[in-house]
Amino acid sequence: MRPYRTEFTRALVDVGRARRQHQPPRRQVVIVGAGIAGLRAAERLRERGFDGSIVFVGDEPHKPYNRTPLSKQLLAQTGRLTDLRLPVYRELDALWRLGTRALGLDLARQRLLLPRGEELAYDGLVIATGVEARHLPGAPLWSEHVWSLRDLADARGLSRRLALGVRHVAIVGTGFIGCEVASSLRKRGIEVSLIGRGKALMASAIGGKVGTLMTRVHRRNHVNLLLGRNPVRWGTADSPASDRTPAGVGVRIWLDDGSRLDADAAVIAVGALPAVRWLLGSGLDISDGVLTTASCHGVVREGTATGVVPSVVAAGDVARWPNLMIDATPRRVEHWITASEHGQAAADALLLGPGQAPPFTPLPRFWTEQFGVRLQGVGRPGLADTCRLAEGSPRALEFVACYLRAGTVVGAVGCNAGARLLEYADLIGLPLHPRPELIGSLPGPVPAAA
Amino acid sequence: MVSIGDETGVTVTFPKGFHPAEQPIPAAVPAVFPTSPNPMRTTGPLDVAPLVDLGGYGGVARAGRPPAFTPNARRRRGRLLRRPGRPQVSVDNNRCRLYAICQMEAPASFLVARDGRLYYDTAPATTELTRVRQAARLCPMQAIALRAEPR
Repeated sequence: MRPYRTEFTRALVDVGRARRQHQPPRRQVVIVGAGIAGLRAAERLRERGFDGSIVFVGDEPHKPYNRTPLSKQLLAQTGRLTDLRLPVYRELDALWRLGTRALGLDLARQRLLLPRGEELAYDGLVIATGVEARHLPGAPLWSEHVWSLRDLADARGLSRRLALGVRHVAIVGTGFIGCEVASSLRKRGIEVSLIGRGKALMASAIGGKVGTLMTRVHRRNHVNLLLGRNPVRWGTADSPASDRTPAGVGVRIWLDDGSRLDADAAVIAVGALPAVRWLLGSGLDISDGVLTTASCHGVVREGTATGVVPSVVAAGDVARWPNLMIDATPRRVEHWITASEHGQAAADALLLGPGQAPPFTPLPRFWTEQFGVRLQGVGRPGLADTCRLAEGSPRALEFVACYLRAGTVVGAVGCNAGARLLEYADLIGLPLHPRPELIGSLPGPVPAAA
Repeated sequence: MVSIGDETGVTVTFPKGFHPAEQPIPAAVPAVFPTSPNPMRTTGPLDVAPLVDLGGYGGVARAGRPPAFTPNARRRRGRLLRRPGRPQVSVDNNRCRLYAICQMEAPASFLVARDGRLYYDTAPATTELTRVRQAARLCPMQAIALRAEPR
């Protein structure tokens, strides 16, 4: 037995030596943007057994935190700062370059350009810079009375301003953020005026019909709705003499119907634009977000020729990709759940390469809560041409609405519906009332007769 | 040329620059979309082949009928299964708003019933853990907590 053992041990040592000689080079993944998508990408890389180094390059001075309570619990003062923590189930062992803005990208040399001429080499790059709040032309964003709401610094500044005896806030924009801010501020007893372009709230996301129902909810909760109007002129204490506000008025807004609105503070929530300015000149297609293939890989465009970059993936709000579950048109999706899943898919795509990575086909899911009304949606209701009530009662604010495009379901929105929405999530891509043979081929559970 | 295991009598020789991990894996299922500049390459630029199915993002997990809600059998018999290292699931009732995202992610461990309550498995089976973790990640209210039993 003994000689065999020695030989065996020696062979093992030799194997180890050979392995060390031919060790593959240590790889480095750089994740630009320390948000939820970047965090989930790093977590997934570690789960998959990637043992190289991971470097986060983030603009904000914070590690990834949950942005969703900023407009809800944090502004309504019902939550705490610890609500912003995100769970991570794997040791990330990452290098955090926080407070560092990426300045450029050199695709040919695989280098990320950082301030002061620093270059960061990468073998894989995850672009997850997310979006920035859109600015309204002419709005005095430098004023201490005018805020937009995107990150923790905005939320803190706005909260500090509200604590200084603000009684009336004007909100410009009737998207999810604008409506959630209105709900949170009303909960604190602050008067709210909501200025919006469209006739219904959140109409671009959930359609006019459900939007009208939510408009009614806001009106019942004494939100001063100024719909179908645009701000044209702004006045603050620092404005020129003609627009200067008197003492005691924080901000004065002139609307395009000739009316005038005085408020102690204003919140601008008119959507967001992808943060892609640092990618200008890199060769990547960055028209309305970083264009990627269906499997998250970056696309280079030179004239009419296009190419896929295997070492660059994009995830989160910044990426524009075709969700093949809906159709082949590349679009951006600004949902928190989708951003999480997108980060994971991007990490997988980076590991698999463009030849093998499966297309990322998530079911877009979103939720919002305003004045105690829980609204949640699946799919892309914004793309629909018709909206049908599937079940429940809109009067009682307990219903599910299905959204159809050319006869097939593209989305569904549930209002205080809980798990009833799940049955309609499985209908996406099918007609609302599928024939029995279609139901037989349905992968999901058989829906109840609607 | 490098040879290993000379003493054992068995000689394996590798050409210089060879590493087993860098060899292409033959089980390549070409995807229709997108097209790659080099479709024969089986991994990305990082040379890590993802072999484990970690449960999933969108669509992938939803293929086929979702499993029914089946909480841990031993738990049902009244005995809580406590093992060191196995997470204990708890849901904060003050936070949960019944969006049922957890039921979409892990249907075997979470159920938002018609009575407007959330039923969940406090000690999910090991096979369910990846899905339960994903449910905790995606919970809109971040109400699901996974706490490992102390060893």
